[in-house]
Amino acid sequence: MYGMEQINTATGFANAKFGSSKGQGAKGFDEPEIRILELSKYVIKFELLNTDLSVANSLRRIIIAEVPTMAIDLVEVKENTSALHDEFIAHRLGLIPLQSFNVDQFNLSDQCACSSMCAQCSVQFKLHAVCSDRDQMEVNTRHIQPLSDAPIIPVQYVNDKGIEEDPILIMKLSKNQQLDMNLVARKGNGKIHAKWSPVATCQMRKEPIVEIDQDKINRDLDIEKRKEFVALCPREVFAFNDYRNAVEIENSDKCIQCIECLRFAQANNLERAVKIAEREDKFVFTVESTGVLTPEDIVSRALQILMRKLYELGTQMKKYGVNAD
Amino acid sequence: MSDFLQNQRVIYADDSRVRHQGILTIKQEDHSLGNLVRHQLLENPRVKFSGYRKPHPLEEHVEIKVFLSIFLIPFQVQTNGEVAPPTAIIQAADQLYKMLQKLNESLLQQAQLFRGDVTML
Ligand code: SF4
Ligand SMILES: [Zn+2]
Repeated sequence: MYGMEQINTATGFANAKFGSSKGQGAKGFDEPEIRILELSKYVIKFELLNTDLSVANSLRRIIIAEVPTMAIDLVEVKENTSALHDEFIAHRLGLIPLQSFNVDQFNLSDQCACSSMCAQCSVQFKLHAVCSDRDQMEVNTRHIQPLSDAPIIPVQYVNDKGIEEDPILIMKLSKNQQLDMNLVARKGNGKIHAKWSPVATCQMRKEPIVEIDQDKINRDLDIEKRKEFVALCPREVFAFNDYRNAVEIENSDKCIQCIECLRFAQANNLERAVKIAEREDKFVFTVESTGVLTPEDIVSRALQILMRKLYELGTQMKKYGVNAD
Repeated sequence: MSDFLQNQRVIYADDSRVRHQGILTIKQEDHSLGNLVRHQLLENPRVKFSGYRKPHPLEEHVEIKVFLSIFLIPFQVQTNGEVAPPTAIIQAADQLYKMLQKLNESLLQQAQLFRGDVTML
């Protein structure tokens, strides 16, 4: 199955790796590939083709936990006469997404050369809000004032029509309550705390395969049963064609592998007429950014992080030499 | 010497008991890299065994370090086809690197098409 000449070149690798698992011949393989299906301001949907679960899952894990972003990490409370206690507010502040397009110019605080804090590893903000002239007042992300000109600011969401949405609400103050805090944002990743995770959603699924033997189903089931068959699928994968009085597959992509249809087929002695499976070489990713980075940037950074890890592994291994005996 | 090893993120040691077997330890890594490399090694027909483990799930939290071991025993292909474990690891890393690089390039290319001339930020 493996040809020796296939090893150690990029294409040969694809050959050995993906050709073999599907039992294809040496020539019948496709290169690993990404295909973007949808791309909007906050969401990317793409297919990862001709790889396997280990690659897809690593990518998913890196996207969630290892793409660095900025988040508020230290809160110095100077004045807090609000109804919420300090830690509660500090936690909320930590979860506010900060635009992190420039995250690369910062160091992780524990790897920075400075002793505690410097402009290379932290960004300072001030949060000052006093409710003096009203009964109630909202404190939102607009009250967070950057103390430096670093382009790290709270995310301002924009809706589909390009109109700015309301800033993120942090808390409310009632009359004569005051909030005065110094905030420090630092670089981190989702492994340390989920507030640094760049994504709200990173979902990965295998593409479902639904196959029915139309002839058999339309021959062996009466019309009522056919309609019942169509109706039992919770995801409306099947449709009933009124002209032909036949069951058709409408949207196999929506299948959730609940095997409800299989059970029905078995109960009606139609075991072979319905086939439910998942493609092993195609993964559909949905990645929804919290707004800290563009979604395609998140995926690209994740790939680069994986590349860096592998590069490091490769180069570090070289010093152990090739001493085959 | 032990100081030197302690500062290394990647440590490889030949297993003295079994020929062509070695243990690779990567610090501060978890399943993301472990499973990927393990799987890629298995695709090499000259690699006989490859597995990884995270010795303790909590280690990462206590020490902010994860030790990961990849054991592998490449078997000898009759004559000149033999390969040492470090070579197999280098090859696997190299292959994966090239694949991810291609994926990244095509992703960025497509994203640009999708975005058109609208500024990304
Ligand atoms: S497995 Fe469930 S979701 Fe999928 S087609 Fe059958 S009934 Fe519908
Ligand atoms: Zn610093």
